[in-house]
Amino acid sequence: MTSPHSPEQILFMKKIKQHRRLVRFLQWFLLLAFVTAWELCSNSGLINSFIFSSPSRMIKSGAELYRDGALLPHLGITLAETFGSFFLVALFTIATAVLLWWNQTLSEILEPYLVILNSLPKSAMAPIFIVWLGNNMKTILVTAISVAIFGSILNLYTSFLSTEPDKIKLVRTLNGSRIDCLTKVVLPLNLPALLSILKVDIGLCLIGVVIGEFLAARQGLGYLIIYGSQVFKMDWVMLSIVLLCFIAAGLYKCLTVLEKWAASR
Amino acid sequence: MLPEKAFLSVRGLSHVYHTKNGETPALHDISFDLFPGEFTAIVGPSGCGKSTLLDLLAGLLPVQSGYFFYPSGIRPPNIGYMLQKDHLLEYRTIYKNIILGLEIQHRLTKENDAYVRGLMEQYGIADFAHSWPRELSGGMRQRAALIRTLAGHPAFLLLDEPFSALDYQTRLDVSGDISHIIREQKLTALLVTHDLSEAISIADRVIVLGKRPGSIRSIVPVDFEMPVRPTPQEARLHPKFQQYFNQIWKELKHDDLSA
Repeated sequence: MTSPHSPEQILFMKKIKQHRRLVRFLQWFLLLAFVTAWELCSNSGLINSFIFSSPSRMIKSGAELYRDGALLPHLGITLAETFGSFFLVALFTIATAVLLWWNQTLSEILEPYLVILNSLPKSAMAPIFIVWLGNNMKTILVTAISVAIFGSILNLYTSFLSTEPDKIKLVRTLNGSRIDCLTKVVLPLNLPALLSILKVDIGLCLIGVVIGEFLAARQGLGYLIIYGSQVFKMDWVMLSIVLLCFIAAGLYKCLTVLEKWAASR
Repeated sequence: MLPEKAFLSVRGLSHVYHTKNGETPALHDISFDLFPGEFTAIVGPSGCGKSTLLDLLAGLLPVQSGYFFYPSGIRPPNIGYMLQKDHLLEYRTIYKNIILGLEIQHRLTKENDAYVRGLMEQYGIADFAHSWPRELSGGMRQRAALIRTLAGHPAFLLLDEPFSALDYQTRLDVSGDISHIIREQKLTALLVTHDLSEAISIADRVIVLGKRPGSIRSIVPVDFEMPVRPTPQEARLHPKFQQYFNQIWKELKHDDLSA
């Protein structure tokens, strides 16, 4: 064991810290520079603020919407739809991947269908969902689920298949059944893979929800974007996009925290 | 010296693996007896079907031709099977890993828990009960794997090169420990290895298998003519050790010369 406090080690740690601080600083700087440049350009008339909006206009219209009590419902409904579809995707993904792992023949039969459904552009399906399910939240949820589910099933199933065969043999040498193989080895061993798949899924669900809201909604940020562009309220459109950025970052952060928690166990 | 009645009798066991690329014979007409409390080693070149034999005896593979039975009438309800690597599950603590089998078989009683804790105490890993496998050295991990195997009170132990993943020094220690435990608990054991020295130093009899498909070349009883069985380290220094080594080496080489 080398002492963690040798001068070389301290210097090394210092360098790492300095580097990290530089990266952080430049990240914030980039954001600030962009927002400032945007604001200045629109104030000076270099770009048309009616079309391109501006940070200050966005904040103003955001405050107005908030005072009218319209902003939070839009935000809340999009979040609720995202979480709802994410929850269903997680459930279906685990259930289906387990079923495919359990029944090799079934997985061989279904594989080409899953691959094709996965590469099919889901926005092409959304209009059909409206006709089938109506102009309501069901359509939005189904659209969001359809965006995420197929790839996520394929990924989790592939990860199940890569389970070390000797680990399964171990459970069998201890007189374990297939259920024991599943619960003692396959599921816990693939928990990190599941979490990284879910991390991608939550982003895909948000995409699906916004696609759904474009077509079938009277509320939500997707609706606000479409409505705003139709009535030329570009401030609303830009505001919604910025809010979607925040939501995406927040959701991703949640899953990262969950992943870290699982890894530390 | 050996009791009349065999513990396990294997008769004419053969096995063939079928794949898309054709069939591979793995074992051919294997017959032998194991006696109660006996420690038998199987040596042979890699790919001669040694592990296949253990998988068949453990019931992990269906028997294709030939058969085996327990004439002594003691059909072990629990066969302990130790694999090449320890395969400790990284998301379980050492204690949780050790009771995996008991948990699966719903036999985690107070008595079994006490038994397991006693074994952990005896083999120096009691302090690591709540550690993660990654925090243990190779030798400690293999000891934990051994206790996991013993936890279910097996009457018959199958060992598939359980020391091959360890470095030389640890390997001597752990093989000493394990042969000590097996003799102390009077377990019947079958060890598969490609290491002749290991086989001679810990086994009562060595079964020599030939190249694929594995068939029995000879069975060599190992007797150091001492009142107490020497430890593996002592055995390696015994004058008869080299004699046995040469004899078995010749049996193994026989293949190459005739081929």
